[in-house]
Order: sequence, then structure tokens, then C-alpha cells
Amino acid sequence: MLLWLILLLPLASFAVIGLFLLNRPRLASMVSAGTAVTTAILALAAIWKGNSVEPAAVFSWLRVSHLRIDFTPEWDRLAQLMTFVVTFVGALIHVYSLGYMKNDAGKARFFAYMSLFMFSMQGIVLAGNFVVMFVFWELVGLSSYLLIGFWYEKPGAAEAGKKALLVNKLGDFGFMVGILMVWSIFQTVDFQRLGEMAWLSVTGGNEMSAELKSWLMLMGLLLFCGVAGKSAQLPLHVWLPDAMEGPTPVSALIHAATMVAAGVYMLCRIFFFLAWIPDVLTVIAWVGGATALFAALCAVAQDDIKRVLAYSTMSQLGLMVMGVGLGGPAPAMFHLTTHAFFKALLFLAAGSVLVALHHEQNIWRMGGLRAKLPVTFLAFLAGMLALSGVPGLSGFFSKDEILMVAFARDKVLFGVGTAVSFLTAFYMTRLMAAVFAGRARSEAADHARETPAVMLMPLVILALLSVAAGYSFLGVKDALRDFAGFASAAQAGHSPLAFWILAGVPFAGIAAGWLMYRDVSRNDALACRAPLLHRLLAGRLWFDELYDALVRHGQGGLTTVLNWFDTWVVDCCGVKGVSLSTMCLGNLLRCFHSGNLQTYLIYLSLALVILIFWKLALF
Amino acid sequence: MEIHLLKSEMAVALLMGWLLLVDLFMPRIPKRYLARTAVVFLLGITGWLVWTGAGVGERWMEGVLVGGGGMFVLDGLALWGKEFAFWAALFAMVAGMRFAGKDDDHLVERVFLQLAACLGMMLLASASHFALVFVALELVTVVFYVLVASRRHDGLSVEAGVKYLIYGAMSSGVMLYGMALVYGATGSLGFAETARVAAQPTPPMLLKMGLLLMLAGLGFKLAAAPFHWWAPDVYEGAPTPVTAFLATLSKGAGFVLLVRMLTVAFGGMKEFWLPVIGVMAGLSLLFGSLGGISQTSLKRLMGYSSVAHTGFMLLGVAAVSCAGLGGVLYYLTGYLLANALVFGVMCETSGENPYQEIREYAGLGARSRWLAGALLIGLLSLSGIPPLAGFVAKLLMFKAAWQGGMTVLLGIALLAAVVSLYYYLNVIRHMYAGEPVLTDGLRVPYGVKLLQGALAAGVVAVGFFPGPWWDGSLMIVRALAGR
Amino acid sequence: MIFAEYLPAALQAGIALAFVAAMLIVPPIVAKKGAPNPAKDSAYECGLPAAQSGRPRFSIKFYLVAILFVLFDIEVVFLYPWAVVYKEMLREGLSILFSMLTFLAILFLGFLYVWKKGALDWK
Repeated sequence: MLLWLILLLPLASFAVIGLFLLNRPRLASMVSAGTAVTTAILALAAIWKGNSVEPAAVFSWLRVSHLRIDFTPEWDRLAQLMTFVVTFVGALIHVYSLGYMKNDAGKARFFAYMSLFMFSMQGIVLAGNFVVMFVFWELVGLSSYLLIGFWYEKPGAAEAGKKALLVNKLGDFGFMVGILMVWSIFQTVDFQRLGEMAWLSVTGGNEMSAELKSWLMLMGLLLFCGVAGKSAQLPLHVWLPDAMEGPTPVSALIHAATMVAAGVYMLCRIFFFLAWIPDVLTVIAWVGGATALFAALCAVAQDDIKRVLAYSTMSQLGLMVMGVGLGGPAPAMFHLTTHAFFKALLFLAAGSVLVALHHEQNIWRMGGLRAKLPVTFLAFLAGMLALSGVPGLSGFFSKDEILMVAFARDKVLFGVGTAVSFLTAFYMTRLMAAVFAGRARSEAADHARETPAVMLMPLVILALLSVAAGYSFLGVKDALRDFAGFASAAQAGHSPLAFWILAGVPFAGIAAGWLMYRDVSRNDALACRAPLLHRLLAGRLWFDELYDALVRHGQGGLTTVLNWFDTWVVDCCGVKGVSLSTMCLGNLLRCFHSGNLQTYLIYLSLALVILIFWKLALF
Repeated sequence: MEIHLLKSEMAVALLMGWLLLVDLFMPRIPKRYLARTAVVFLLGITGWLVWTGAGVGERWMEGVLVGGGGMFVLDGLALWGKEFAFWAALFAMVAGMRFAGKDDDHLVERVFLQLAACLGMMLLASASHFALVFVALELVTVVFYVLVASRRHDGLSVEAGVKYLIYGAMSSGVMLYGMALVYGATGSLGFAETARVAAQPTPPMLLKMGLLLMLAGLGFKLAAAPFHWWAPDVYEGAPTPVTAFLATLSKGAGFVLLVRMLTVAFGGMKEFWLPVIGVMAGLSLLFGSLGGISQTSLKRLMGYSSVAHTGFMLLGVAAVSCAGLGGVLYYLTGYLLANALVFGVMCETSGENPYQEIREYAGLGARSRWLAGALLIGLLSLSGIPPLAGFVAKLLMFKAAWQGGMTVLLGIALLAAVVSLYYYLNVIRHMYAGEPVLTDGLRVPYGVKLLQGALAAGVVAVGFFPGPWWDGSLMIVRALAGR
Repeated sequence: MIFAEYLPAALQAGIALAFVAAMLIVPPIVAKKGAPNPAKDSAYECGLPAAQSGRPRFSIKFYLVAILFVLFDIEVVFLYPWAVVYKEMLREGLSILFSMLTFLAILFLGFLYVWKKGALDWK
């Protein structure tokens, strides 16, 4: 019951707002935020009860021969942890949005979408099988699309929404084919049944045939496609930076804390069966590492405050995916949780800055905000330190866990991780220096005023969590230690060398950043000193241009051919021919219906006579 | 006579009598109040029937309750048919009240007639004797003769009434003739005796002839080709709520009778009637889907649509499996809900668009989100878009046909599904993308919104969670075939 | 042959058909026809010129009364066999009485309706 409430309350809120409250924005926002807070409280209650939550009624949705799709909420430690993150961060961001969206024309619509998103996200978390997860996966994609393009009158936002949807679809298609393969190989899509099966075939000791192995590998890679789309991994990452066109709370909730983490969550959920296809795990680890490094590099040269954070998100997601790929889902989930806190914090703080500066997003037109926005500054500082992985804050603990696993498994990836760690500290220092240090470099920055309390309160809570979430007394770190599915992932040994490296790197990054950006001018210091490198990074290695060219030229040629084929073969002979002949036939049949009763009766009698002759006289 | 079996029928009959007397002797009471009271009472009877299973509870599950020397049975199918009659009558009554003008003198008479038709279908659902079948069927049909022509000052309505009357009278005659021949062959009009004779290795020629004639007569009720000629004209001409009633109750009655008659009375002659039903199904699909393409009136379109849907349902009957017949019941459920939605919207717009020109639906999406949404869901369900009820229903029919090995029919059905998709979507296109003729907003009262919301939710629920409905239908049909 | 039992019916149908056919076919053959002319067709001494069309519209009330007559006439058709078996059936209980009373009650309801609605008033 509790679980159903957690799942369905946001849906109810969405329905109520969508059907009745679109013209009552104040009430709508209250309903939505109230629902989010209630859900968070219910979730806390359910987590506190833990596994003893009474099993929610199994609700069988579809039965086709032996395919059976049930709505059975999954409620293991993994789901509990994720539920906590989603509902808690979600509630805080809803409250924050009350302030942020206060005077927006589409406020009611915004909150309706937010509720829809909360419902879909919670659905992913509680999904007990692939099909249900996929349904919610798509719903999440939809709500993300709606929210990115929320200000649809801005061409940039509409474009970004479209882009996100298309890129995600690409990944989802792979995901769907992967699910079909799971079904065809295992004859079930249920996580628990799959878990039993995987366990059987591993301990049963029967060797897999090479063919089955390659099928399994393909299946694993296809499933990972979905992850790559949703969690913005290379090469499907291009949508995430553009998604920053959406309102900032959306960026915080969906494109930093929860939705993009859904891919990582899904990887952890199915880790048990990825674990016996080691090759796939290797691919996943390398894709994650590459994404982390690439995104960290890009972040160094961005001018837009939200884009910097977006690349940082991508980079951190890369680290998590790498962690899972290296056989450490528990550290990955740990990092996911702490990351949700401090990245949401950073985005919300950035939103606070934006509100104060009337939506000036260029960091070189800020500056000197430390004194004007003290609370925001402190919150941002906490988030920045946590993200950089300064020892003692949550980010350090979780990143440390992942990199420890990396150190034990693959030294090269450990190097990548360390580099990412350095770069993170570097670009975050750059961001801090540009935004908060020095003098105000624009009119807006000069007149900035601290934002209202309703927006600051979530900041403070998240700041506290960002600082403290790493310590074991909060239980986040050990939430998954005794989770059955992860028992196979051996805890990596703790190496003092790695520890000291990891503890030192953030300081090195911060120091480097501070040296370079200490005296901020209107321009990027990197652009002056290494213009080529800057252009390369600012252009994000020209991924977008590459895709664009690919689409334009590669597709262009193909479309010309297809267009010709379509116009002449399909349209002319096929569609037109079929439709024309159907029309003709229809008109012919219509002629029978003359409207004349006598004619009808003749038809009737004729039919009767033919019927009788056919059935009785011809036999 | 086990009179207690007739409780629900008597309740409706008493309601009718009461309604008539009050209307006669207390003319001061506004007609609308009386009509509303009748709706409430009927709703009460419906609730009671659902709650108690017509006062016989779960006992029909154990065995059939038979009364009147085998004339009247009370089993799952009978209860299902009665439920169907209730709901169809309720929707039609509400639609009729919305349709009627404020000062309509004949509102109560109309409600009375609708109740009479409902009573007819209730009896029909239980009838297992050809005499009772005929009486019940005529009760339904005669009521429709009157209702179709009830807009006496509208030429189209009168024309439709005359057409329906003459065509119907001829069909009734054919059917009666068939019954007489069955009597000649078996010496009885009961289903049980008929079944005994039909189970012989070579059933008598007269019985075959009788069955054919009865199928032709039933083809009229179902609007199944090649006996469907009246349908588009009458659907177009009849007042909109009557068309709604015709599309739901009349068809439901025909199918309930068809299912019972073919499985119980003529179960032994499958090889004989199967090709006939198959041909009827195929022709209905073709006529219904192709004929509707170039229609300009939504009401006439619904006439063709109804013929096509008959074709789909006959597909399930022709599959002669429990899955097929159960699918027919499921199909009827979804069909009833979707039709109630579509015709409900049509009644709302009938004031400004009396002939239901599809063109004039342009811009409805902007004028009233509710009406457009309701019409959208209804039409999408009729065209068989997942996850609505119509989709699962069609799927069940296709599956049954496939398992029955009727590949040609299946091909025709798929074709018909695609073609009919075109004309449903055409309406939707006009509704949302067309150049509006009228632009002022449409006011819809809350009660109607509530009803349409409930219906739309029903369409979604039946389609999205087919389990309970499907299990129920299957159970009913299994019980029927098991006897 | 089962059709043997239907011989009388078939015979009657055949005779009826033959009679109708004969009435349609024979007179034109037998009757003497001269060329028609206006003088021949006119009414002469034995009639008046037609004042109006041969198919006048007459009041719907005739139909109404005729229909009502048929309705209440049929009642008697039911009553008669009932009366014949009444005494015999009475021994098995009162249901024979009540079923007819129900029937008559329904009919009476209809009668009330007809009366109250003024269908019996000629004006």
C-alpha cells in the first residue's frame, strides 16, 4: 500500500493539475509540491520499515501464453536507496521551484510535468521487470522532453527538447531490442526470476556455448545502449549539455540528480547478470572512463554556468558507469547518491545566481558575488568542494570507493579517474573564481540581491547533506554492503598509495585553477594562453558538428535516393495505387446504397436466394 | 412457472408502468425530472443485478436455472446480456435527455420505449425457445420502428422509420418462416429439442432451411452484410440518441441471441452454418470498411462502422472456439463503451450540426477539450489503437480467426481494420487540424463531463487491464459450451 | 419423404398461385378490346365526372382507430382459448387467473394511456 502510494500520488497530482488546475497556478504548484513532500515522507517511512514493508499486491497486467508481466514493486536495498534519493531530492527541488518559477506564465504546466516526472522516475525505481521498467523509461524520456522544451517559445529550448528525445530514442531502441533478446534467451523478463536463473547457470557449472556467449554479449551491449542514451555516455551524450535550456530546477532534478542516474541504477539492477558476461563489463567500464575524461575536458572551456555543470554531471556519470563496469555497483550507487546531493545543490545554487542576475548565464559576466549572495556562495562552495572530492566531504568518500576498485582492477582506468578528479577540481575552481571572486563584471552582477528563503532552504539542507552524506553514520555508504546481488563484487583492497594520491589530487586541481584564474578578466585565461586547446575543448571536440555533418551529408545522399524511391515507387504505385483502388472499390460499394427501399429489398431477397441455393441446392 | 427468475424483468416492467401512469395523471411534474428518476431507478436495478446476480447469486455458476418449461434460462450469458441491456439503455437515455429540447413533450414516452427495448433484450438474453425469441426480438424491433421515426417533422427521420419498418417487417417474416420450418423439422420450438435433432448425423433439410432463414433475419438485426442495406440510411436518419441505441442495444441483442442459438440449439450443425457466418463476416468487413471511406456525415459513417464491427464479431463466432465467442462478448463491452462516448459527443453537438457533417467537427479540439478528448478516445478505440479496449478486442478476434485457420477471412479483417482506421482518423484530423466553421466555446455540464470521463476511463481500463473482462467472458462461454 | 406431410399446404399454395395467375392472365385474353376513345371513357348517363383524384388523403384518425381496434380485438383472440381451458386449469392453482389478470392489467394500462392522450376523441 505504502509503495503504491509513493508511486501513484504524483500521478494523481499530475492528473488533477492537468485536468482541473491549469488555470489555477498557485493551487497547482501547492498540490504538486505538497505531493512531492508527502511522497518523500512516505518513502522515508517505507525505508524505515525496510524489507518488512508488507508486500504490495501483485498486479498482473498482461498474460500472453507464458509471457507474464506483473506490476510488482521491487523493494530491496537498491530500490530503497534510490527511492530515498528520488523522493528526497525531488521534494527539495519542488520546494525550490515554488520560488524559482514564481512568476512564470506556465507555472501550472511546469508543476504538472514535474509530477509526471516524479511518477515515471519512481516507476523505474520500483519496476520489477524489464517491460515495466521500459514503460517508465519511456515516460521519463517524455517528461524530460516536455520539461527541456518547457519554454517552447524559445527556439533553442524546442530544439534541445527534440534533440534529447531523438538521441534518447536511439538508445531506447537498443534497449528495447535488448529486452526482446532477454525474453527470447531466458523466456522471462522478471528481475527476480532472471536472478535465480543467472545464479543457477553460474553455479551449475555448465559451460556456455560460444554462440550463446556471443548472443549474451550482444544482449548486454544493447541493454547498455539504453544506459548510454539516458545517462549521456559517449557517443550518445550530445543531448545533455543542450538540455540545460530547460528551467534550472529541471536541470537539477532530471539532468543531474535522478533521471540521468537512471541508467546507472538500471546497470546496478541488472548487474547480477551482466556479471557473467565480463567482456560487456569491460566495454562498459571503458565507455564510462572515456566519457568521464572527455566531459571533464569539455567542462574546462565552457562559458555558460549551467553547461559547465552539465559536463561535470556527464563526467561524474561516466565515473559511476566505469565503477559498475569494473565490478563495483555498490560504490557506483554510493557515488550516485552523494552526487545527487551535491550536484542538485550546485544546480540550485546556480539557479539562485541566475535569478539574482536576471538569467545572465555567461560566467565571464558575473564576478564578485561572494559578498552579495553569501548563502548561495557558501552552498556553492560546499557543493564545489564535495564535487572536487576534497577529503572529509561526501564526494571524496564515494569517488574514493570507485577509484579504489579501479586501482585494484585496472591501473589505466585508475589513471583516467585520477585525471578526471584533477580536472574536476580545476574547472570547479575556475567556475568559483569567475562567478564569486573578483569584481562584478556586468551591470546585473553589480545589482545582484540574495534570493528568497523558499529557494535558500533547500540549498542549506542539500549543503549539509553534501558535506555529511559520506560519513558512515548516515548509512548511505553501507546501504548496499549486505545487498545480496552485490556480494559477488569483491570489495577492493584498500591501498594506502591510492588513498594518498586521491587525497592529494583535488588540492592540486584547486591550486592549479586558482593560479590560473586568480585574477579574472573578461576573458578566459585558457583562451589567452592556449587558444588552440581552448577552441578544441570549447567546441566539445566537435561532436555535434560531426553528427550534424553525418546526418546532413551521409543521410542527405541516402534521403535523395529514398525520396526518389518513395515518390515514384512507393507513392505512385503503392500508396496512391492502393488508396485509389480502395477509394474506387469504396465508391463502387457505395453505389449499392442507393437509398431506395425497393432496391434494398431486392438485394435482400437476392442474397437470401443465393444463400439458400449455395447451401442447400449445391450439395 | 418459476416467477422469481423474472425478478429483474419485472422490475423494469413495473418501472415502465409507473412511469407511464405518473406521466399520464400528474402532468405537472416536469418531464425531465421523471426521465431522471427513471434513470436513477434503472441504475438501481442495474446495481442490484450486479450485486446479487438477478437474485440468484452465484448459483448460475453451478448450473443453469431454467423456468417456463425450458423457455427461459438464467445463466452467465443471460446475466451478461441483461447487464449489457441495462448499460446500453442507460447511456441511450442520458443521451436522449441531452438531445431533447427543453420543452420536449414526448421525453417520457421515449424513455418508456427505451425501457421496453431494454426489457426485450433482457428477455432475449434468457430466451431458449423460439417463440420467446420471436416475441422478445419483436419487442426490441417494434420499439425501434417507433423511435427511429420519432422526429416526426424531420423528413430524414420519417424516411428512416419507414425504411426500417418495411425492411424489418420483411426480415421478421423471413425469420418467422425459418422458425416455422424448424418447428416442422423438430416438432418443437425449444432449443433443447432442436439441438437433439441438429445433432443427428444428417440433419433434416427443413432444419437447414430454417436455420438459413433465421440467420438471414438475424443478419438484419446485426446489420451483417448482405442483409445490412438499411443500416447507413437508418443510422443517418434516426435521431442521434436512437442511432446510439440502435448501434449498441440492437446489435448486442442480436449477438447474444446468435451466440446462444448457434452454440446451444445448432451446436451440432457447425459444418453447415460455419461457412455462412464466414461469408457474412467477410462481406460485412468489406462493405463496412470500404463503404465508409467517402462518407461526409459522421452518423452515416457510424452506420458503416457498425457493419464493419459486426464483421469483426462474426469473425469470432466463425472461429467456433471458446476464445472466439468469449472474444465476442469482450468486443461488445468495448464497443458499447466506445459507442456511448462517440454518440454522447454527437448528441452534445447536435444542436448546431443536426446532420453531423464531419466537416463541421473542424475546430472541436479548440472549442471543447472535453468533447474532443471523449470523441478522440471513442474513435481511437473503435479503430483499434492500443491500449484501448477496441485494440484488445480486435486482437482477440484476429487470434481466434488465426487459430480457427481462417486465413482468408483474417486477411480481409486486417485489410478492413486498416481501411476503417482511415475514416476514423479522418474525423480526428478534422477535429484537431481542420479549419473551424464555428469558433465559440461549447459548454458542457459537469454531469456529462463526469459520464464521459467515466466512459473514457472504462475504455482505457478494459483495454489496459483486459484480464478480468476477458476471464469473465471466457467463463460465461465455457459454461455455455460445456452444456 | 418428409415433404409428404406438406402436400396439402403445397397444394393450397399451388392452387392460390394458379388462381392469381389465371385472374391476371385470362381476362385480357378473353375480354374483347376495341380501340379506346375519349367518348368511350367518359361518364355517360351512368355516373358523374370525377370531382377529384381517386386517391384522396383521409384523416390519420381512421388509421388510429383501426390500429386500436386491432389491438383490443386481439385481446379477445387470447381470451377465447383461455376461457375454454379455464375451468380445467383452475384445479392446478390460481396461476391461470393471475396470468390473464396481468395481461388485462397491461392492456388496461394501454387503454388508459390511449384514452388520456385523447386518441379516442374524434375531434
